[in-house]
Amino acid sequence: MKVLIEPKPQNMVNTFLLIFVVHSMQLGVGIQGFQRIIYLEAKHDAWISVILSGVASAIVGFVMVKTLAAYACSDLYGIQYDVFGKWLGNLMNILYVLYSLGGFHVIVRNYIEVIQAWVFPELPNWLLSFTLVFLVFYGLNGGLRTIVGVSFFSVILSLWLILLLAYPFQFTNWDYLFPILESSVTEILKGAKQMTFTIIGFEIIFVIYPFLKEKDRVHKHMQYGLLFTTILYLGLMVVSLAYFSGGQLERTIWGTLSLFKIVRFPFIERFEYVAITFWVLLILPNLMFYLWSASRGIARIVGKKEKKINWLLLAFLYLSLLYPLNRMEINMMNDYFAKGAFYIVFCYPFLLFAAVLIKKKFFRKKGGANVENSN
Amino acid sequence: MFFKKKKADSLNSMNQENIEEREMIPADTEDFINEMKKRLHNSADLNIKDRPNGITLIFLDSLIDNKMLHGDILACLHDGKVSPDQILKDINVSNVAKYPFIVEAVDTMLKGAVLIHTSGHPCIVSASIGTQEHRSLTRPENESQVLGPQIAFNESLATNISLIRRYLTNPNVCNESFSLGKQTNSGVSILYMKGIADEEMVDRLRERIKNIKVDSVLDSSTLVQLIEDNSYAIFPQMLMTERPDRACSWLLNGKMIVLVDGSVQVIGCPQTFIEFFQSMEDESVRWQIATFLRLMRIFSMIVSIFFTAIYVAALTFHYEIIPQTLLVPLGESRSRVPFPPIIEALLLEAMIELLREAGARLPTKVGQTMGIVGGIVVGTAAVEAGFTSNILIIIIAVSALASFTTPNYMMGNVIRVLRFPLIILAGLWGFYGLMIGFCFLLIHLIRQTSLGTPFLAPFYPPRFADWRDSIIRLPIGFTNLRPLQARPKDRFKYRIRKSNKKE
Amino acid sequence: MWKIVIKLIAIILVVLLSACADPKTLERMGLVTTVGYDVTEDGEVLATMVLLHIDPEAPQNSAILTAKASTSKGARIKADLKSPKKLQSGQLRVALLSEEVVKLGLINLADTLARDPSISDLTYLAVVEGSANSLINQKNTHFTDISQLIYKELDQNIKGETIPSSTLQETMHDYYADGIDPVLPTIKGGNGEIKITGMALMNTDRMVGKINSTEAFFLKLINDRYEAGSVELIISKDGFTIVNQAQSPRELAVVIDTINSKSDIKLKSKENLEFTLKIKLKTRLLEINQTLDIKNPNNLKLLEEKLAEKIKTDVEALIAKAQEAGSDPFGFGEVYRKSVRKSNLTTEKWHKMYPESKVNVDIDFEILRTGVVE
Repeated sequence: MKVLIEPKPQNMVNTFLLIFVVHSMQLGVGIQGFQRIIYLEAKHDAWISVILSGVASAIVGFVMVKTLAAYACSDLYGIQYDVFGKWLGNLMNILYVLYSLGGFHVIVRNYIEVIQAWVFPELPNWLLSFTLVFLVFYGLNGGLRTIVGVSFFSVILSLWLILLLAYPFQFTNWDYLFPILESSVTEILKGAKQMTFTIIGFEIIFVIYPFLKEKDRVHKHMQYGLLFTTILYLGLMVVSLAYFSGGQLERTIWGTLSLFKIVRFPFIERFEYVAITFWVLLILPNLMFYLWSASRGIARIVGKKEKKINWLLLAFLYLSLLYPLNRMEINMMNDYFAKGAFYIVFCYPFLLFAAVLIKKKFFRKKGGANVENSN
Repeated sequence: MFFKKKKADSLNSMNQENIEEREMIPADTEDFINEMKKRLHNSADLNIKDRPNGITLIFLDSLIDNKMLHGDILACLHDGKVSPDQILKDINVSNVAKYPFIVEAVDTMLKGAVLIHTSGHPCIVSASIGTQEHRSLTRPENESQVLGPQIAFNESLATNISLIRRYLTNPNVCNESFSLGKQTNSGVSILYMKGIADEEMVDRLRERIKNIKVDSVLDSSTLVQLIEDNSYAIFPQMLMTERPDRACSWLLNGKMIVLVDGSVQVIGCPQTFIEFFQSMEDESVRWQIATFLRLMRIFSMIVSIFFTAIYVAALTFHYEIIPQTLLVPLGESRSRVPFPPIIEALLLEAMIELLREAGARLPTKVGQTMGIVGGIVVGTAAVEAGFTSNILIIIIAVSALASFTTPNYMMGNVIRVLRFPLIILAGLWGFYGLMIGFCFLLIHLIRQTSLGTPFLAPFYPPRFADWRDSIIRLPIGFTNLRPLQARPKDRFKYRIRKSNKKE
Repeated sequence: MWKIVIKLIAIILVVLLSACADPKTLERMGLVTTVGYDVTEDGEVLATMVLLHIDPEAPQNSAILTAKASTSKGARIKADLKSPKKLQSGQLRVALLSEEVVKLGLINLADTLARDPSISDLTYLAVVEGSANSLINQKNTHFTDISQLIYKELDQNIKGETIPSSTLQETMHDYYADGIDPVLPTIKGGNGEIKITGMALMNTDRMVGKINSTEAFFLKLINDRYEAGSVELIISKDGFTIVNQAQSPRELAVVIDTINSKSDIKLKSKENLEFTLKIKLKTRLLEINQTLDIKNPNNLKLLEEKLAEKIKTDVEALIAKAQEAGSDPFGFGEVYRKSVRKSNLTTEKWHKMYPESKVNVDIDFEILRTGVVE
């Protein structure tokens, strides 16, 4: 495997679009009901947890970009191969591929759960997952530019949903945010850790990095994207805390969707029905990017074309989605995935960064052989 | 003609055939006449005129201008012994040439030339005196507008190019011509502005046109399907116009246009999705009005595509979302209808399409009556009979109306057709199906390109400077940049500072 | 290759088409717009449902179904057996609970409503004095659809800020909050009309008392910012110079209209559980039942003072009444929770503390306008 890659110019995307990629990757199914999970840990200081998790994501984002910048134009797969050697490196690569596939699976599962709980209790799993898999397949066939386009439009076309927060805003009572810092620091940190499932997604930078045009602006735009997400989550959390009472929030599984329940226009009521179905557009970029990074990983390891791998992976994922799970099992799966994601997204990058630094130093001492060229 | 002789061969290789066909013109008059007769299969309008001094004129009666034949050719031919070079000098026609090969001779004759053969010389002189049979220039019918020039292209390639040249008195307007179609040999021209248009794009277009191997090109609307990026897509990726001013504005923006002999519409490329919803009139009216009109067109496109589908979804699956004030009228109008909403909607949509199709094929006056009969009589009767609900009639009528606001006929058709799959999706899975359809369309649109450039520009990839003249139009001073879509070599139409002195 | 693809697509299409979602076509659904719950002697739930009848030829555009079962959903299943159309609660606007039901505790019913995703969070809850069944079944000449009448009446009065809002969301919110109790409007039927009589005071989810509509105004005054409510107040006319004193009644009735109001509750002392309630009220004078010279600034000043005094006593009386009943609809508990760090307040704890709390009321009353004529 080559450590460095040279993407074709027609596959390169504008670095500016990284804002949308990062934001749309973070926004997914987690946002539908993160309030409850955080509230259970941090009570009405949950918003502090959100800020903390945002800060953590910014730090990790910084480390990720620094790691990638150590190489001229490489991705996680190449770096791991370079740093850990052929066997361990490829093992790590496979782990990351599995993580991406897991992300895909978890998102589809959760979304289907929402659809069945709120709108169509009788629509079968196989149909819902088929439609989503089909859309993902069609998008992936268009290449990276199409996927980035989908994530761009998914952000732009759903911005108006934020405006709808004005409806629950009328019913808010800010007293519920006080007294500030009543929860202990550990509780708040635990809450921040619970944000993992909601805030992950920006690790896509590991894979998309070689395809960005201006490498020196990557970090800036990455941070913009993360900041935008954090602000959105913070706003949502604050409104939810003030809108629901504590006990009510503990019982509301999908807080964000419940916020939409009171939106009422003269021509349409019960806006949550529209919002839930509209969520397809919000999870599409997630699905596409997770699958794309998985199939890129496999393509890098085995050296085949991505398109064939897409077929196989989608077929595999589709079959795995057919396995029936109940609400408890889905919750368990979410927890496991969140735990794994916590180590992969929030801990591992530091390790990798250190490894890359050590490797660089080691090679320079040995006689100036440049890492980029040595492989 | 020569294709018939060697049908099998010609299909296999064009190159080989060209060499074989390069047959010299016989020097002997008799041979020449026979050869020509053979080639044209003794066509009845093949006129062969022998002159006493070994000169033979061959032409197709139907193609030439008799006045010119007499005044400018026959009157100029001297009686003595002449050579082809002498004739070239003598004839009073501007478009004369000497050809050694039969193929060329036949070709020019078919384009309206008189062939002059002098016995003993293995070549002919051809003089173009063809009549230009075409209608006079008329008002644009499909893109009519109140303001702006009231002239449209017609079927003649020469006239169309002359129209464009009249607008753009500029030596940089380049014209490259090709002939396309094995049977038709239609003239096709690419026009672009040197110094503005991107050479790479011109190359790409030229390659595409050159690589076309088809039987016939009868109209630009068929050519456009051959040179488009994706002929499977439902959206057209190149725009056509019958307005010379619009074609010129494209040229000035660094785009290329393709003209086809015998067709009224010229093709412009590369194009973006949003340009299908723009009209030349937007440039003529105030910017506020232009912005309003453009926004309204986009809105009506969305209404037209989704309105009926939303109705079907809401009534079939999501009765919860209907506000209480609408509940009773909706329910009452639905209560007598025997079909589920999806069948009802499809029936009515089909009826509207029937009316539209019938109206489009009929003469204007009859068409109007049709509209009244169809719209009012059938519509009312359908409601009275409890066949459909009157609210659906309103919805369908509005969405049909909205689809007419699209300035481009091709795009209007797409919008018409797109409604049906969406209605079916809405009828199957409600809003979820609708959303799946929407996402599919979105991905589909993102995937399209026009001559290799992204179709959804300037929105994706975002080019904020080009948003000034997209879904909105800013005042004229702000639109001094050429859109990046065609990668113009010169980004500035003009510099604002220099031009804005209005003292 | 293409043939296989086309065949595959055809198969997929057929399969997809067969997987149509369960349709809930509007006109085939029995849309429940109002539901009333009573409790029968044997402890079962008696559900009375008003269905929206959308047949234009029907003489009435509503139908009423009654069913009895141990649970509310069970009652709906039984009612389904009596209905030509499938009952759906997605258009539910009002849920009526009889006094008896609320006295036993409403949370089971309210929770069932909130759990159902098809029921709107904006459904109004109300308490019926007497039986919900007879209220729904009563004859009324003005409205063909009783559910419309109930819904519009509640909606109008809540939007017009005469009574506090009591949607499902707000009730659940207050129920699950530690330091505030929900309030529900009480309605009463009779003589072909339906009347909002006041509000029911609750201790968590049990009804413990009742206040009248004037008191409901003050409750709303304490709870949230007012913009449009108006109220009639009666004060003694001592000290006013009134033109023809002889025939007029002894008391002065004044109608004021709130332009805006602001209430502010603060915890004054944590140990003594003492609150300060400050209400700022800007109003305009709508009507006085006697000819009072309001051009005279002294009169106006006096009027302001007296009205402020009146509001103060009324508010204090209301708070005392609620304390006695053991219900805190004002949210004093929330103020306590907000102001005291690590209070670990629970509903039970607060209900024990609440009756001992002391509230100092401070009214800042101002008449901005007296109409367009002097």
